[in-house]
Amino acid sequence: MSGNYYFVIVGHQDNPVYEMEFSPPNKTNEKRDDLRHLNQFIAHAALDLVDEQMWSTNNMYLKIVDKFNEWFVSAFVTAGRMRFLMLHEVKNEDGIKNFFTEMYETYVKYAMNPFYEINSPIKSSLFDKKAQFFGRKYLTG
Amino acid sequence: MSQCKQTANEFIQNTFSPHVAVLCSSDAQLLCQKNNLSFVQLIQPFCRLSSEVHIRDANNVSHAIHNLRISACDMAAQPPQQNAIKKQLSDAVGATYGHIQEPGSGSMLSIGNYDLQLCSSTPWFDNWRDAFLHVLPASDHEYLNHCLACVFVVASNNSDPLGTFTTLANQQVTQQQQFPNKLPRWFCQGILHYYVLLHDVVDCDQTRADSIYQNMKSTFGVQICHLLQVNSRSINTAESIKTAQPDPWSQFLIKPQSVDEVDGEHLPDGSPSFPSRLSEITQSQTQTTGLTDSMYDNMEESGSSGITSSSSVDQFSHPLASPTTPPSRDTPSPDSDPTAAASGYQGDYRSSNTSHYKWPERSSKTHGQCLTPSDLDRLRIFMHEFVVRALVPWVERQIKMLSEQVTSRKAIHRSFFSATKKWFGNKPQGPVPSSQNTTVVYTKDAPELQLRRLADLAFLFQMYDFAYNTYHTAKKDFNNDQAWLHFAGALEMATLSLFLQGPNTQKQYPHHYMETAISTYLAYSRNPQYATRATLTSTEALKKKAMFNEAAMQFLKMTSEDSDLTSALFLEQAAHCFLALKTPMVRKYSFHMILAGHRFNKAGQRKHSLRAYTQALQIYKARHWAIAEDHIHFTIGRQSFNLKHLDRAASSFKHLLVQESKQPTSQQAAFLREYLFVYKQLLSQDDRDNSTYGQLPELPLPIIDSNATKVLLTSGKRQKDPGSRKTLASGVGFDSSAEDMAKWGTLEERILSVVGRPGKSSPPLFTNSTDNNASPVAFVGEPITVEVQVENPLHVMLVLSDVTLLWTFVPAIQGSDPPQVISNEITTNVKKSLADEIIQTSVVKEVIVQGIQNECIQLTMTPRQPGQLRVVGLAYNLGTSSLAQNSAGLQSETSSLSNSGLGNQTIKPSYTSSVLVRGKQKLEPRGPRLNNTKDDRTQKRYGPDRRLDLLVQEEMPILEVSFLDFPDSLLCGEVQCIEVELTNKGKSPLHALRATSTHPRFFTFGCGLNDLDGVMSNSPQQHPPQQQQQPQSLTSKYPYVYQMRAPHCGAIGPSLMSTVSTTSIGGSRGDSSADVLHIPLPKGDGSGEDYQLMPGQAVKLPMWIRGDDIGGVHEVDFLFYYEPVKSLSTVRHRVVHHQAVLNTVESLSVRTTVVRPSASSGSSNGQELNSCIFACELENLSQVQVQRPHVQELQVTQVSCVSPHWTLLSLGSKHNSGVRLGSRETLQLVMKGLKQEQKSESHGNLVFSEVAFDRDQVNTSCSPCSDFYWRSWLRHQALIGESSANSGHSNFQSAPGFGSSGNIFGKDTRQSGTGNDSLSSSVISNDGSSESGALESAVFLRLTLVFLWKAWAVQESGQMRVVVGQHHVHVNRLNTVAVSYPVPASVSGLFPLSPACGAKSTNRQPQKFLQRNSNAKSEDSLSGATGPNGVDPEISTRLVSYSFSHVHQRSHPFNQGLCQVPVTLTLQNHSGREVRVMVDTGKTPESFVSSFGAVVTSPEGQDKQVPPIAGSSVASMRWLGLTQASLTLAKGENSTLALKAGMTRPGTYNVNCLSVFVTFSADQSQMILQRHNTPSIVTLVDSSPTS
Repeated sequence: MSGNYYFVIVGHQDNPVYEMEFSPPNKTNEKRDDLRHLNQFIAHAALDLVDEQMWSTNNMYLKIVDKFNEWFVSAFVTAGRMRFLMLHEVKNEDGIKNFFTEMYETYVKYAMNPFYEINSPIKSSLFDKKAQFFGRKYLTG
Repeated sequence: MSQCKQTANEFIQNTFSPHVAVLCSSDAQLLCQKNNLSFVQLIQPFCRLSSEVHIRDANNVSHAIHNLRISACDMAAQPPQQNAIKKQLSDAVGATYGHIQEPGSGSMLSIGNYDLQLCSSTPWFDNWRDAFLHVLPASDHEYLNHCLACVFVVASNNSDPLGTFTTLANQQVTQQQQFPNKLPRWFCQGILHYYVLLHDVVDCDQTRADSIYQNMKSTFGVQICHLLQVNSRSINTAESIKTAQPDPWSQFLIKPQSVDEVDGEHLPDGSPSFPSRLSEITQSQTQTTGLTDSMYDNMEESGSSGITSSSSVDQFSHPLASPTTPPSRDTPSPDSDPTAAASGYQGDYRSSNTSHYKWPERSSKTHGQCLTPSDLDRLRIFMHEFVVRALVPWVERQIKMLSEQVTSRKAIHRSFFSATKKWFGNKPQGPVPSSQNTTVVYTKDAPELQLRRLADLAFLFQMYDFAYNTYHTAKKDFNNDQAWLHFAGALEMATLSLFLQGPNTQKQYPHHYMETAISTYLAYSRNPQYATRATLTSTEALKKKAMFNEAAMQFLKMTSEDSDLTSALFLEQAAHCFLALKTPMVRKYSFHMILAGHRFNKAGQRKHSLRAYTQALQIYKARHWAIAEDHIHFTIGRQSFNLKHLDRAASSFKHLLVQESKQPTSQQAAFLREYLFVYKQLLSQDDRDNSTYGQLPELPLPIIDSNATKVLLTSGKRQKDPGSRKTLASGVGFDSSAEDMAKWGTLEERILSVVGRPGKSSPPLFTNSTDNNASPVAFVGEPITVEVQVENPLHVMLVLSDVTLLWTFVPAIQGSDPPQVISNEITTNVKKSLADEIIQTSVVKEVIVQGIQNECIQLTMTPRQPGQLRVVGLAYNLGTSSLAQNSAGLQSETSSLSNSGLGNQTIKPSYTSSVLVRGKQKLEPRGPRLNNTKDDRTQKRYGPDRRLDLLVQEEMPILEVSFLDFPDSLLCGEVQCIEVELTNKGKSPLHALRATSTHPRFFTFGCGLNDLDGVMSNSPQQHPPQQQQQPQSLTSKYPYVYQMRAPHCGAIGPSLMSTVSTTSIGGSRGDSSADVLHIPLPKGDGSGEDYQLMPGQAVKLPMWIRGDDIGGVHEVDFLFYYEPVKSLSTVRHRVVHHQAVLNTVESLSVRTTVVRPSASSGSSNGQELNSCIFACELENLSQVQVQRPHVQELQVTQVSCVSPHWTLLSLGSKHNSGVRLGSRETLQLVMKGLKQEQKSESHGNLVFSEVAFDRDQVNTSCSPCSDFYWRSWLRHQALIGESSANSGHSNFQSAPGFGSSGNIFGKDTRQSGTGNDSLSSSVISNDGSSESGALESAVFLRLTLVFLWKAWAVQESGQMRVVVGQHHVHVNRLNTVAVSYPVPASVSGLFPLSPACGAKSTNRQPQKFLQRNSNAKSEDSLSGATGPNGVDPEISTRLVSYSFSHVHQRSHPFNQGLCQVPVTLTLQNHSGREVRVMVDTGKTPESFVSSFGAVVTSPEGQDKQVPPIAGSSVASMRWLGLTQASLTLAKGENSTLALKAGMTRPGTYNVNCLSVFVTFSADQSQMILQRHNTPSIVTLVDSSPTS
């Protein structure tokens, strides 16, 4: 279950709505800073495949859609066509699925806030906390 | 997707074309040289046959060959060195950049949300591909690029042409058999020899040539000889003609490398993997330039000294070779010894590279100048002859032969075949590389290779069906033998031959064949070049078949760590493939473009890197992938910088700084440094270009909020200097809020209305919330302060230095010339100093803006000329904090540097010091959004904002106000005297000085002090004779706060007798001007009646201040108003603001109740009736506290009464110690008031009566005591007017004003408010004209008690201080509680004294109001019966007071019968009019309570106060004599009535058991019972002898 994760919610204009990185608690992530833009690049490039594959299944969870070097990209498409992407170095299908499902619920709750405008960046410490929690629970934990 | 010049078929055919070697004799070489070409080059344009050629296969079936291209190669030419290959490839890519740079070359493409501008072609890729294939070394596993024939060329002028031919042929044969093999490689043993006699038509003899040709034909055979006539034009004529003849060679020759096209710089890129550190750029800056030079040097000297020059080689990473991959020559060739080969090449190298590097020189001239069109035709014919007559027949023969071999071999059993392989194949031939030991090595003529030869030959001559079958067979063989290299080759070619068969085959395109081939090339045989070639051909085929995804995958598969250039190109191609998909994958495209750009960068292809990143940016732009976007911008910036596109670099770096960044702090710092560095270079470049001379560039950082700009027309708020005793007027600061400004505006308008020049106030501060439609008016010589708010969006500290305002100025001096605009945005010394003379502009040395912070920069300007001044912007040096962080020493160094720079008056930044950029930003505040018309509403329109357009006018006087010893804290009511100094700092005199304040009761300048001045002409003083004492001169200090009475009345000790003085203090000042004080100025130096303050003159005035009655912190605003004596401008007045903060501490609280004295038997004279009793409760509220100011002891030194009628008398005897109160002590003080006979009818006069408890007696009737009294009185009135609504502003509304002010309150309060109105106004006017007023005077007192005290206050420092002060208690009515605390007096005043409402707190309860209101209503409803005219029963029942005088004790022998007590009833009319009084002894007041309860019942239940004793005594006491008396009392008159009371029993009796009715109207029936509750007791003792 080790390995780093990068989670991003992508809005309708291919804009990142929410980003978060998870790394195992024992690992120091000094290298992460250099790779941060690479995470974004890979996630962004994977959108093409997400958009392609989302029509081929009824499931929201698309499993691994793309791979670049050592990174896998798993995806989850919500009913509102928000795309959840997860970059991961190790395969962890169930954990990621659970994480996506939980985050979907969190996101839906957040999006119901009438003051939240869809596609705008999510800036909420509560959301952060939830994401961190589920990240620990299903991904790095 | 990228488009190639060639179709896939063409490309593949061109890739695999029959090779022919050319061997020239030296004389033939020379002959060709005339045309500036070698022979190979000469024939190159004609190598492609335009006509169809037919060839027969082994079965004698004819095939047509289209577009056959012969690839000729010079046998003498040496294969280029590794480095040369690499450079050649790199150049091929780099050189093609310029073609696609022009705008419009791309096409727009819209995919989903994305708009993409694309280059339709990638010529650099094509070039690279051609170059790559050109330099691809031949391998032994295939024969496609092995030479099929060798053409021997000898010139006709050769002495022995036939001999030379033979020599050349031998040379070829030896070369072929030589070990190790030299290049080129040969197809098979017996290759085609072809002999060409080159004949120079001009120079040589035609006949000789013909004869030699004949000889040749006979010697070598007709088919393989050719006479080629060239150079029909002599070289001389050729030079003279210079015709513009088409140059068919140019496209085949490698272009010369112009030096500036080669960007030799290579970034030393530390990280091998894609994610390069963004922060590494710091090192590149230093290395770049040095590297460039060395690169150029290397290239120039490479011709002689070899290409393996020192520094550049390790910078280049070879695009093809890598440390892990051995060069292709070392790959399995059975007869090659790598070491030997290497030495062999090395040996030849020196001789050959000279010619190779001479190309550039040669090619600079035109080619083929000696060739006429007929020569060109001959060349064309030659090639055709060669192919058709020699090559094709040879190939036919070979095919036949090879297929025979192959078919015969097929009969041999497989086991035998394998045995053969064992015998021959495994013969060790030379050292086989250890890594190749799994690979089978074939001999040259192994049957498998023959098969391959056959296939290759068929393929080359476009017999694809046959070739495919043969390859397929060969493939199986190689696979069985596990000869992987051969296997891969066969697979590759099988695929291609199938592809080239085109649509007329049923077979599926075997994509997997190619996949396997490529992976086999890579995995088993470690031959990346061939893998690359396979990829190139395969992807081309795939693209043709529209299998773009597979093509992209294949490209991506070939990207490796080894070769950056190849990877970059392939990534880019893959990206294009993604776009070409049916649903374009635009995001994949952008990602791969990024990757390609990165690899281009690593390969040193900067332009391509920049291009790739720019392409990708189109996708990422404004999508909020912040970090990715930052990376792109940063790379673009860096590449642009390296390519010297400084402006583009700067704008890219700007992106990094301005937008919201998610980068860590260190990264932001790096960005900032980079930006500054680049920008500085850009500026210095611009400086050189001189294009923007004198104009400062605009900087992106920090962000300036133009609308937050504030303009202050003074020098800013001055802080109090804690050291000095002097406090300057604080002025207005930038921190003043809109409310503050409104407050100042009100004050100013108040003064203006008093002055009689109502106008608008002139605010000194202009902010976003002020009305900026008009330009602010500034004056010459007065500083203008502008506050600019800057915001730092970064986490990094920004250092702004030498910050100054930029302005333009149009002088107001009228001249014939059009006014010239002067600006200080210039960098030359002369102009700068000139500008500084006009407007003196301050320079702020250094402003540090911390990360994510706002900073306000205050800058001042002092105009020196009148005119129009416009502030246009802010100029500053932008720098980072790196210096400050590194060492303090360095910082001081820079500051000293900038100091010296400033000393020279240069604004030009010194670029040598550190990374600083001088630039500017505009200040353009935007006005409010317009909302008037529809257009305004629908569009976003904004009004003008002129706060930065200043109007500078002529000089004005400047008043400076300073206070000496202004206290920080005061006790409540404390009075202090301080000194005010008024100085005219301007250059012209000023006059008409006035002052006002938000707290007018707070201070006074005194009046009646300066008798001689008589400045206060509007308040004439009436000094009683005893007050005429020595006036204190202005300049002397004021030892006493108060003015003392001359010790004439109390020589022995403190006098408790009251001193009475009369003055009319308020009469004429009872208007609104009471809040505006005229400040007395000393007489000018004889300049007439005007009292002026001359320039430079200073005046000191005393000022008294009194602490507010309410404890706490008070903000007191002072406004000083003055006018210039002669005003040149439209501005007629000026003001000075001062804001003081004062803390007041609770000290004394006084509660006073005034009651009428009950009749005492002792003093039955009428005087008593005109008196009243003041019961005062004094409380020291201050508590002893440590570390805080408090009052230890408080002594009441004097009580004064101020009233038009009443005077104060002491009741007690003399006491020396005064009236002292400790902390939290309460003291009761009772005094007596006496109503004065009104001597004069001038109602304005006030009587001051004083009772002193101390040795010294203060003259309360003059300043400052009377001033404070008056102000307090006014406030009291205002409070009444306001009822209970404590809205601070109208507190100082004076008496006539409250009628109107009362009306603005709500309905509930208005009812009471209007009621109060009539009351209070009548109190003040007191003229008795109105009916009710006349009656009310019976109850209203209108007097004020002034308590003067002395306190021993402990200050914060612990020091003891004796302070004096005064408190005021305004008593309006009888029997009410008045307090010194300024609560609305109406509350306490309207309620009669009763035990229930004794506490002050209960007075303030809102229920009382309601009760009172309901009272008023009930009273209204009852007015018809009891209260005519609606007079308050409170008043009407107290119109007449009466008292009884009789004996108090008496002995009477009751056995003798009734005891008669004579009682004198004294009646006093208190009202201001005549009343009729009826005395009825028959009825007690109690009896009315029962019958007319509503009349006498007061809300507080007054009836309860009827003493219970009365009930018992009434029964036994009877009035004797007449029972009803009626009399008339005039105004203020008193009268007596003799009565007799009769008692039958001894006991104690209350004689107050009669009723007095009063009527004041004609209607006699409306009799009002007067109230008198005090019992009058008679005690009767039975003196009869006991029985």
